[in-house]
Parts: sequence; structure tokens; C-alpha cells
Amino acid sequence: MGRVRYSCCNGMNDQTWIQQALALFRKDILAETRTRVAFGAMGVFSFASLLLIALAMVGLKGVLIQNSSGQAVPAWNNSGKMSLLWVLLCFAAFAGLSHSFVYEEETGTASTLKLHMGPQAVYAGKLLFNTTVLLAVSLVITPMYMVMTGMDAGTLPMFFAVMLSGTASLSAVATVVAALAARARSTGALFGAVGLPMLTVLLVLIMNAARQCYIRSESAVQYLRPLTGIVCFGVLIVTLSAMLFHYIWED
Amino acid sequence: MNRSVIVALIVISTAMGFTMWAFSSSMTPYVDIHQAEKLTGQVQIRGKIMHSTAHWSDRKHALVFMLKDKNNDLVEVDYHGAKPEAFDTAPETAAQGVLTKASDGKLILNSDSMVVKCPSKYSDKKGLKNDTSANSAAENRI
Repeated sequence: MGRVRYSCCNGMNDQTWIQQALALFRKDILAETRTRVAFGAMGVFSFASLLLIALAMVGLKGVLIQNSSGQAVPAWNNSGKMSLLWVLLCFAAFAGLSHSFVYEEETGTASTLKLHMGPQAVYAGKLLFNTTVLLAVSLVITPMYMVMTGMDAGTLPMFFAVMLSGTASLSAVATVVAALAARARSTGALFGAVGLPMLTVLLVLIMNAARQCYIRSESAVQYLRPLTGIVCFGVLIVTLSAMLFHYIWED
Repeated sequence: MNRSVIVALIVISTAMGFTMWAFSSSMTPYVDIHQAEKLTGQVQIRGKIMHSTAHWSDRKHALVFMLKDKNNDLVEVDYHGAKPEAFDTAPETAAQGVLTKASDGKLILNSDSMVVKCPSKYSDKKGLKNDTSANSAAENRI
């Protein structure tokens, strides 16, 4: 195992914040490969929910319901499956990523980080790590889910765009909420409470976009509108968090 | 003010604008019948239930009734779903659905979601006007 080098000897000024962020990212990846805290939490959680959803929805297979124009449509349709996939990813993100800052506080390494890099670098590094982990998890979970529930991808480019932008935005929300929660005493409850308003908006935006995967449309605006929403919400959260992060980090 | 803050504020306001733009598509606007004719997609129309016209249509498999909005325009509502408990006594309702034109040119609101207003216990005796604030909570429902 290689040692992770910090800029401890020469102070923090000889490295740009990007280098510092990358160093933190490498350190987190290394720590993750050793302990597998985030992956373990997310993996067990996702697999359990995956199995639960697959079993719970067996009863809905082949059931038809009438929609508002009187046509019979399957009750357990692609949009419904997509919604549950996002619920699953959302909980997985919050189960796994909540540890990213708590871990630093618990092991007492938060002060070390504060000494050696600026708050921007810490935020960028953690965001990069969380996004990578969540992308990896969703890369494993999504195909499994699609096989187990028989979910269609619909319009393929749209599907990939939704999954990618949705996962990135989700990790941006989870990162800033994790940072907030790590500073509080009762981390668990606060995590949910603070995250809820941000998460609700994000999930509504994602559901909109997900529905569009299964609607054929000629105009590109129909596809772009919900996607822009997700991406811009992610940008909004990242910008705000980057601006305000040092108030959380250096109290 | 330093430059990075200004850049950040510009980014934030732009991103917020686009987010609102995308988010607004998930809201169902409250409109009257006249406006609803011009819109495609989901709308929500609030108005008085014409109880004498309400009946169950076996052919359409729906609860059919006429709805009179505040401009006294009439629209037929085909409500696909279980009849709300308070429907028979409810003076008003807000029906959500898609407005379609039948082959004979009649407007039909194909609805699958409806909020009925509870009859007021007090307004009849005291002769107060029904206040509509009870319905405002349901406004702009996601």
C-alpha cells in the first residue's frame, strides 16, 4: 500500500486547491478500498431494497389499470419502475455518503484536514469522492434492477443523461447535507431533516425527466427541459455549498 | 465585492432560473375553462358542481357531471376514479385532468384527480359567502 502524501512539510501554499482536492480524493479512495464503509453500507442497503421491491411488486405483474383517457395500461409500468429505482438510489446515497464527513470527525482527522488544506479543497475532494462512489453504485445497481424488474431504458440517450445528471446532483445534495450533519450531535435525524427540502425538489425534477424517457417526442426541448432542470439544480447546490462551505467547516 | 462572489451570484441566479423553468412543468396551473381551451396538457379547473347532471356512465366508465366555473362557462367532467365521499354534498370541486374535444365539438375534461370542497357548516345560517381559502391549499399542487 502506498502512502498518501500530504503537503504537510511545506505548508499548504505550494499546492493549488485542485491538487489538494485530488490528494484528498486519493486518500478517500484508499481508505475506502481498505475499509469499504461506504460501499458496504450502500451495497447491503441497495441489495436489500432491490430484493424487497422485486418481491413486493410481484403481485402487480400483469395488472391493468385504466388511465384518464380510458385505455388499459399496465399498473407496474416503466415510469413506476424508474421512480422506485430513484427512491432506492436516493436512500442508498444517504445511507452511504453520510459517513464521509462523520468519519473525519470520529477519527479525529478533521483537524488535520483543516490544517493542511483550505475549505474549498476539502469540499471539492469530498464531492469528487462521493460522486465517484455514487456513480459506481448506480452503475452496479441500475442493470441489476433492470434485469430484476424488467424495466425498459426507453429513449437510450435520455436514459443515460438522466441517470448521470441525476446521480451527480444527488451526490452534490448528499455531500453538503453530510457536511452539515457531521457538525451536529444527533447526526442521523438532522441528516434527514436538512436534506428533505433539497431532496424533494431534486426528486421531482428527476421524476419529470424519467417520465420523459418513455414518451416519444419530436421536439428536443421536451427532452432538454427536465434535463436542464436536474443539471442546473446540481450546479446551484454545488455553487452555494462551495460559497458557504467554510462556515460549516471552520466554525 | 470581490469578483468571485459576483460570478457565483450570476451562476446561482442563472441556475435557479433554469431550475424553476423545469420545475414549473410539474405544476398543474389553476385555470378557468376559457383559458383551459388554449392549453394542452394537465390543467386544474375549479367550479360549482351541477348536481342535477351528475351520473355514472357505464359506457365511459366514469362519473360524469357538468362543472360551472366563475365565468359561468360549463364543461363536462369525466371523472375516472372512485367517487369522493363528500361529492354529493360538496358545492364546489377542483378537477384535474386533460381537456379534450369530443367529435361533436363538446369540451370534456378527462379527469383522474379531483378535490371536493366540504360543505360549510356555518355559511348557510349566517348567510356568509363561502370563502375559497380552503381550496387555496390545493393550489399549484405538484
